[in-house]
Amino acid sequence: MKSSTLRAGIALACALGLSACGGGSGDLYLGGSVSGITRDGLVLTNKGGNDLAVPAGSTTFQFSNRVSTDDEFDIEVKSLPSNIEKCNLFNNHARANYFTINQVQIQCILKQHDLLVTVNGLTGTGLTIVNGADKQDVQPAASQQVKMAKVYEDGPYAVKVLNQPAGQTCTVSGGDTGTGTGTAGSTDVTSVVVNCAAST
Amino acid sequence: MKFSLARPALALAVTAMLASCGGGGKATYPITVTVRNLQNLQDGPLVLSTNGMDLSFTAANPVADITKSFPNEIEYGQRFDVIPKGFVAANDATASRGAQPEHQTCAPSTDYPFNLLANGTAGQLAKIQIYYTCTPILYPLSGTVTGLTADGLTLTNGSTDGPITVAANTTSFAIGTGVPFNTTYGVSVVTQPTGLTCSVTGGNGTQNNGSGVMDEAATKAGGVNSIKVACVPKT
Repeated sequence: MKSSTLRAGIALACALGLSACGGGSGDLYLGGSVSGITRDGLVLTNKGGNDLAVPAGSTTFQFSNRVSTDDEFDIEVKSLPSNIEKCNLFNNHARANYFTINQVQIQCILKQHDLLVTVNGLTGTGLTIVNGADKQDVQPAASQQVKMAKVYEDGPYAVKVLNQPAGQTCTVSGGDTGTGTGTAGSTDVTSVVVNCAAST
Repeated sequence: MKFSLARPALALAVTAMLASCGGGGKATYPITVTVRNLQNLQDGPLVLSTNGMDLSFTAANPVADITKSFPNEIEYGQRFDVIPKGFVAANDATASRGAQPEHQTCAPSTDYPFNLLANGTAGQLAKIQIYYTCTPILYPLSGTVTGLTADGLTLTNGSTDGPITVAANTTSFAIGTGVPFNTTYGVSVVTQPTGLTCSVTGGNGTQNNGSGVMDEAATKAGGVNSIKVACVPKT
């Protein structure tokens, strides 16, 4: 009678002790570095369980469940933020030990979209438009769409006239601000317009 | 008489045989250098030197790794120290910058697996392979702000650098880490501050609209600092 109570008590104590460890029972925290996250939505998973949401702006991450030495881990991306094209993972699959648990690197790349600028009424030669370091010389045509270098989703763009064509003055309009500037959304940017007219 | 002719003939034959053996067979090592990311900026080549030899690198178009070897190989145990011509090498450390191609800085690569020593002794490693990496010099892009009495102004250099936030009562700004030689820029307002309208003028371009090219004159002046952002109350 006495011993059976004792036995039950020990079993209970054992169960409590195990559950206090957080289910993982190990003593190693699994984590690493992450780059390029500008929005919420990145969810990492270790071997299909133990999901971890990585918030916007994070540079590091750490799973809450601990792992034991020699446990196999395999960190994968379960879901991506809406503006991320893909994430490249390095050192994400190994057996846990002091050296491997903090070597995981996740590098995420933003989506890119076309920046298409409509140029109307260009008859003279010499028009050059720029979006920062991206420069495009535009040849005369009644109406055309000039493809600039791709822009990052959620990133800024700002189209300017660097050089005017001979005999004409071209003005940039459109974009978010009406002056050819704005922030790229989730689709191609097509709202920037350059209208050219004879110089007065 | 007969013997006196035979003796020089024999000596000649022995000499010829020795020469064909390679003169004693001491190992020699070529010094091979790979230059990475050398840009074509229409100026002088990168000249590296070691052991009294020069090796000239001219940028490929498009930019690509260039691998060359110094004209003469060095012998086992001989020291080498590959430095830009004009460098002062002291205690195996490059003490000061010497002759570099204009608008870029070329230095021994520091990133794995290219971070092999540019100096050492022939025979330390099986072969001598050195990597140099060139990085364009960035010239500052900056300017002044007037009338900025409220928060909320953000500026950008196209999609290249930015946006940067400019706080109320700020009178100057710099965008990003700078602009390389021969590269265009265009500074614009992305978001206006509360109750104000800001416009951008200046720059070294022809349009006085905050755009231009980081040309030779601009780089000599230490960058472009003539961007002007003027803010007035919204009407």
